[in-house]
Amino acid sequence: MNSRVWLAPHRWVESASLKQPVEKAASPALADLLGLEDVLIELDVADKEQLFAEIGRHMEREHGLPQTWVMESLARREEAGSTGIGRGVAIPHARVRNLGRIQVAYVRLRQGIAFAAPDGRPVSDILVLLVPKQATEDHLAILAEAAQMFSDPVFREHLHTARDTSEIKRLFDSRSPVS
Amino acid sequence: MTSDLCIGIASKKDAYEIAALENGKTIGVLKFPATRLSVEAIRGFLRAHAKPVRLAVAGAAAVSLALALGDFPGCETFIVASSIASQAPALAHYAWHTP
Repeated sequence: MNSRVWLAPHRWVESASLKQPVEKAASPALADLLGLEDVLIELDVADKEQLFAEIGRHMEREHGLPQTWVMESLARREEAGSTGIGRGVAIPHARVRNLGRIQVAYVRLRQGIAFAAPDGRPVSDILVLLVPKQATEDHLAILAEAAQMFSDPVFREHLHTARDTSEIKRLFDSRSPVS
Repeated sequence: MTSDLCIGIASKKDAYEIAALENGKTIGVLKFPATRLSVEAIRGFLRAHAKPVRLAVAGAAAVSLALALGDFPGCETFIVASSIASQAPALAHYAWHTP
């Protein structure tokens, strides 16, 4: 199926949507999902394939998710289009049936790798999201939070100059919305 | 309605407000900063759905935003005048109800 774009020709009564009230999002914060053990720094990989293998290894070791399954899920999503979002940042993610909760990892690479990002820049900041298929709201909420953080050049700079994983974890914690 | 996921995006000067309907269930409004990184992050999210997606966009630079987000197979995109629907939930409902 191809994509289609329409200039809306229809009349629409905006109040019609009020029949169904918008529920307040009660999604977990990114910082709550990102454990200290899920912050990996100075990772040395040559390409996406090696990166996904390392992420798979990590997810198997820390969370009991099969390495091959994680690697293949991320690679399959990547085939649909790069998850590089520019400014040296990528958010590789996969939606997974029967996953208990969102798994998050932050990876800082020793050297940037090619990622087919829209700005063509190599990627060295990677936020990995493994999302249960039924968690669309949480997925969007985490993405909104990540976009807010990574759009800030000061945050990106601090991530690069942080000396250890604890400092990086504190950076994410400090940007977490107060509930 | 043929899509499991309908997204409404109200493009404001400083933010993209997003609401979604998934199988008819409303998802709360989420706010993304109006940056290129956000556009790419939203695009990545939409592509992660291996099913038809409908997108209704209104507001500042709606046309370029719609074209940037909706350029993948299985996505139907509606560019909506703000006088018809201007809030993200209303836009999501627009995408849901439009035949």
